[in-house]
Amino acid sequence: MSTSAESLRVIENATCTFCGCVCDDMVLKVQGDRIVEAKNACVLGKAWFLNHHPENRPLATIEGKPVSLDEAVERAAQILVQARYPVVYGLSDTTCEAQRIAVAIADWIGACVDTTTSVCHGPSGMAFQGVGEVTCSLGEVKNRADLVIFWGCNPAESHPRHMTRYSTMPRGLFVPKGRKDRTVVLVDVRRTKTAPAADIFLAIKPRKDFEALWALRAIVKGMEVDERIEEETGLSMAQLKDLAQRMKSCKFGVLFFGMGLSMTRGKHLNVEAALALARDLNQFTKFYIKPMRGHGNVTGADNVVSWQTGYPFGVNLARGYPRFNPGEYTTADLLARGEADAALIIASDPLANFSQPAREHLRRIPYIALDPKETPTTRHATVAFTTAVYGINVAGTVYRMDDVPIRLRPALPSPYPSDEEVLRRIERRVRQLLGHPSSVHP
Amino acid sequence: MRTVPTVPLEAECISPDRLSSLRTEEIARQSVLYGNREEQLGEFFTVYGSAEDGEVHVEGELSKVKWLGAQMTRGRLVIHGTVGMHLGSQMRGGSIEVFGDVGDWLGAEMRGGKIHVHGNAGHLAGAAYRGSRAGMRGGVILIEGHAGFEVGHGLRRGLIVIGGDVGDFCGVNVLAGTICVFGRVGWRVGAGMKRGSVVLAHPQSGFEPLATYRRSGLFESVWLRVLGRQLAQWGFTPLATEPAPSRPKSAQHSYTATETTPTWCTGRFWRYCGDFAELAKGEILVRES
Repeated sequence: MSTSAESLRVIENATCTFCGCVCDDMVLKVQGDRIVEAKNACVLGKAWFLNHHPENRPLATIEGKPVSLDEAVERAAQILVQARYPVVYGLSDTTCEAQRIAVAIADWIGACVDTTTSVCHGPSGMAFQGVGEVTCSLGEVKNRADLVIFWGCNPAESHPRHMTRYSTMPRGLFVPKGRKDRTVVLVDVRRTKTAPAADIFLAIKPRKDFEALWALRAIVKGMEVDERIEEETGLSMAQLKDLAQRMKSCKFGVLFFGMGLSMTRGKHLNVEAALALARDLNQFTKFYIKPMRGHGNVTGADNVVSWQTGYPFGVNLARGYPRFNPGEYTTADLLARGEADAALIIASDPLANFSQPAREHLRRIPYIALDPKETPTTRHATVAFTTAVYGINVAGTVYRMDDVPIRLRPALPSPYPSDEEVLRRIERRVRQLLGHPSSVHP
Repeated sequence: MRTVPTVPLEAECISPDRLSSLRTEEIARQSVLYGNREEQLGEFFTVYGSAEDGEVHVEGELSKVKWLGAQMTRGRLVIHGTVGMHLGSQMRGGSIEVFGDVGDWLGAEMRGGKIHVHGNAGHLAGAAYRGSRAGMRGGVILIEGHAGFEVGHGLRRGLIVIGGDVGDFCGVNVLAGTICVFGRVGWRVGAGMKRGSVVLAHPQSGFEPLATYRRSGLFESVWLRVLGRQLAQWGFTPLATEPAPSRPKSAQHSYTATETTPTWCTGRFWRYCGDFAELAKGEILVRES
């Protein structure tokens, strides 16, 4: 190894943008154009940082052929301006600064703007509207929570540092003994790797979360529920009553839920049941509820789209004012129905994970893709841009899953432009084509 | 319809209120939103006749045409063909008749009037828009075929009748009002119901009550016969096959049933009350099997 002290740089307090935890205590060691060590990173964070390598891809392509950035921007702007029902989608793996420009483009061209929230915690967003969210930051959880419930999520594998950094292990102001002062409950359909870290594991039958949460609501209110609940959910009445009692008698309870709730039968109404339970519990104690957000800046996407349009995702701007209707304006649905006639996809790979009809329709229409890596979506894109990686190459702001904004400290320069830069150029050209060259987006 | 749109066409101008006072050429000039740009109605439809009598007929492949008859207050709108989302949304009066299927959000948040669909409907018929507390607040929705999820979400007043099967969460968060289903039901009927009635007229509806509902007895209802006769008068023919009467003929004579009273509403119904996770003043009436 030709490790020389001169070429080794250390970046303190770097931020990992792999998952929604957005840990900002990374110590990265950089040698040449590689990150060689990522101290404090979890297994996912290590993979994120250490596998980063310089790409050898053209800056931009049109129908697969390498072109200059200017040509690609021109073609992208033309596609967007000519479209009658375009959709701007993705946004969860880029900075808030880039998301803001993407919403501006959607506004200029009268598009639907939608984020990957619509295929993960979108139902939670709808439920927040229906019921409301009793919210707190992860810092409060760390310092106060004495009852932590994980429902339909598996943080040990999906958010490895969630438990050690925020929710179960750390010592806090009002939980001085850390893990010993807390009760941890896991409700899931199978014994995941989170189960050994929990005090109580409740194995619920698949797709019966709504029934269990609904019964808990009634039990918390002191109502008797029908005994059929045992057979239906796989949880005994004693288990349900014990959990209800623990929830009512804790000092500070928090329920973290994952896609086990938001993406199984019942979707937003499962989440509404959980939110309503948390709301009801505040008659007895302090009780909070938070979704376990996946992608690094998906929470930022919700925040940016919300403060720009008033709604978190699935927003249509065709009439010049925002309209919100998940199912109608969400990308997976409007592609599956064959409605969109162009798309701008930022840091997302719908061709790898959408339904068959949606993928087929996307292949038929012209679309623009921005991604640091080559994906099925960039391969089929009419115009594809290679962009720099946020958090590793690009500075900016991202939101942690508890809506706390965190600044990024990039470790390496990149030969590619950032998403923000490319989007800003597209936006400028779109404005020119629409005859609004003097309008300046802040 | 002359030109079938390739992207959604928002045509709330197609409503008797808006068209009845206009001449044919003025109707053709009405603006519609085609994707993100305004176009004229005449680009897509051949317009003939007059709507002076308050009657408007629309014909063709309309599955991408949205908001027909939205906010209408009077007159009659007749649709021949499959029609898109938000038909009769927030309407206050008049009537809509559809000879075909309709999309999601049929009669969402409507306040009055009557919609009669001879085909199937999508999800969220008579529902509350996201973020609203209350859905349909008055009027009648009749769907002879099947309907999707969340029928009558947040229903506050009015009547929704489905002749076929419904998806999950039929009558979720109902505040008041009546839903009647002739076919099979999905999961979680009446979840979060505060007041109101859900009637399941099929003896094998597949109904599984939530644990927060309680069975409170078997009874015969007078108002269901009134409902049955009214539906017959409206010419409502449910898709779900009417099961043979399970009771001997001699027993039927004890009812005050007239010849026009359909058999379904003369039987006995189990009454489930709930939802005990909420106000618990609602009821689900399930026909005795």
